[in-house]
Amino acid sequence: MKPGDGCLNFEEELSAYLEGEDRPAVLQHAESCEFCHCVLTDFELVRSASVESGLDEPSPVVWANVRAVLVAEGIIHPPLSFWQRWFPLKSRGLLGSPAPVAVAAALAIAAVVLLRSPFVSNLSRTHSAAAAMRPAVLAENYDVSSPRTSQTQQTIQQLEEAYYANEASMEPSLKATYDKSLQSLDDEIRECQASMQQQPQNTLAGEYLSSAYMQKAQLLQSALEYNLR
Amino acid sequence: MAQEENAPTKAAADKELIARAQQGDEQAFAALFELHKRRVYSLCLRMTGDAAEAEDLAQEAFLQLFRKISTFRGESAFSTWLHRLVVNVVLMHLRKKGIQKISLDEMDNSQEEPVKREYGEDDRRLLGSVDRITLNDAIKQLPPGYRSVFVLHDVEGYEHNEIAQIMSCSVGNSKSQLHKARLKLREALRRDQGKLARAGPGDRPH
Repeated sequence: MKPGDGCLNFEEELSAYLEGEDRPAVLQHAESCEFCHCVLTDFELVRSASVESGLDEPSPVVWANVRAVLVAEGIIHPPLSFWQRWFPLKSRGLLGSPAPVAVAAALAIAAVVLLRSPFVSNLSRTHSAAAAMRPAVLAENYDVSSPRTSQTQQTIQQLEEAYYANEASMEPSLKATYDKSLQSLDDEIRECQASMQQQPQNTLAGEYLSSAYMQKAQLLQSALEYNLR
Repeated sequence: MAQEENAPTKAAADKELIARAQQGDEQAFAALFELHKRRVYSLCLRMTGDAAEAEDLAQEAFLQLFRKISTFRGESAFSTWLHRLVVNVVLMHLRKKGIQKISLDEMDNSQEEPVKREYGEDDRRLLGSVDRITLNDAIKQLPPGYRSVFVLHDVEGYEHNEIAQIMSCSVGNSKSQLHKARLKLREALRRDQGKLARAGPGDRPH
């Protein structure tokens, strides 16, 4: 049975009617044609169901990944820790330039995280594995003679070891994001170290290096804290 | 755009959070993410039909948003800005996958697809209610081009002139694609309902 002229006209006008245009012929025909009445009601049902279809929830990994990248890029400034609140810029006179203060504060945070970490006891076991996996970024340093520098390196190395000790339990996509950010920071550290080797008095490179160490410590801390949840 | 409840309240909340985020406040970023994550993810999910892909795209969209947040001056509503960004991210992704190599204008050479008329008892029965899972499954089955237009128009509330601009097609083409998408959805849903009518209570098709 072929559709009549009324049905053909209905089909031609239907799209415009559903767009909100004035098409009285659509409703008039639907009142007299059972089939077209079903079609119209079906279309309206699909449209209303679509609007009311509700929203889905992404997994927590999405925010973790976004946060990790934003911290690494310096877009997010994580809230001040206990140590940073208690050793603000006014301590500069006692500890020299602000950069070491920031590094010391970040490392103090890292020390607190390490003490809380259930994986600290595994550090000695994983030490050799971690060392084999990562290049010795901290072999060169920006002030060999400074005991503070040596302490900085040791703490960041411990953070890295804790990170790699935990990596099996991390979400693969999250780990990939952290690894990428860490690689980027390591590249920056290497570049700064190379600059300082060529020009030992390059204070700008020294500040960038301090900043990179701090970001690396914060990123590793962030990864460990997230994984401890 | 689809109407949101408490839109002025949300806009005010967005404004305050944006100002703080522009200063690097982590909690402001987290709050903005929390406010908009479901809308962003749902849009990505409906346009791609794949949860893993949708999460990657949602992540990318938020990263682009937060990197650019310092440039947001409030000329338009934040949610509008975010929404357009998400749509662009998804469409770029689909184009890279080669799914929408051919423009919609090239595809639409045929005449309007008529409503299938196979007269019988089933065809005169209404669809009945459509639950969310069934509808989302049906949307997933749509060809990508139809799916994009349908989601943008019927789910997200974009007008055809906006869709035409976003998808680089004509307004007429957008309307045509939408009509075809609705026809296909109707057919898919009627097929599912027919299966449900013939099957037993525990035999729901997926």
